[in-house]
Amino acid sequence: MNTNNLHKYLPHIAVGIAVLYVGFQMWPRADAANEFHYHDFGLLPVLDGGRYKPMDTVARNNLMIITHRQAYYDADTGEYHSANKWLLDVMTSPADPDMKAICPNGARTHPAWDYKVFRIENDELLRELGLKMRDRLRYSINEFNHKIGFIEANAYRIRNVPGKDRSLFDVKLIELYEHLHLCIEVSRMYAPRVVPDPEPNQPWKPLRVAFSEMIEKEREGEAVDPMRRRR
Amino acid sequence: MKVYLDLLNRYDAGDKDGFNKKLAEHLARLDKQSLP
Repeated sequence: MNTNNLHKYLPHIAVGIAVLYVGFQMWPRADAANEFHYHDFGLLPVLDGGRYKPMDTVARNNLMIITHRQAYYDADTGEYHSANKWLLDVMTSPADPDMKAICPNGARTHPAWDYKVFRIENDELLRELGLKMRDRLRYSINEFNHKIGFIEANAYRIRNVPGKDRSLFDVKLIELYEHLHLCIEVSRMYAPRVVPDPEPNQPWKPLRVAFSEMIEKEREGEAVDPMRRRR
Repeated sequence: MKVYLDLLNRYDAGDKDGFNKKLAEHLARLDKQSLP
């Protein structure tokens, strides 16, 4: 290969190397023995969208919707993390006071709310949320937490606007609202459905529902069985 | 359900060994069952 040919193919080689590097960084790896086994956590079966699938699929799909990637990038450390770690961190960052009984530490101060995973590309929306446009266009909940009321109020308003009359700002705000909703549902443990129903042919339950039913049964048991307290 | 509560509780507490052990036990049990 002479110098001219090398110059001709150099951009292609550079792009190829960059793609390989990003792919390598995002490729799921086996869990290190001294770390949480995120990969194994992703093997747990769940019911989602009417189908049984591994937790890993749900985690990747959710993250793909929110951040357009199947892994999330930590700009502070320059590392990619798995969707399973993201899901587990969201699940243990309860947005609901009732679930703090399960995760009193919020997996140590709710790290999931600092993950810059929400893709916001509309400059008008960024301005309204008080955010500056940055590389990668990803923002964390904690960066626009004080504007959640604004997002909700506008989402309710926009829902009454026919699709053809919605502005680009409306479309992008609804999109962000839906992504937030997806994340909060996981945090409140209403999704995915992880608990099999004891009755045959019944769909699995979200952890939140199964947990509430268990608490209710325990309360009823105490009320109807006074002997139980004496044991 | 109690398995999930236990796993989340251990993750929340930063108990890596306990989390990994419980997870491995649960996956081994699931291996012997079939999904609906």
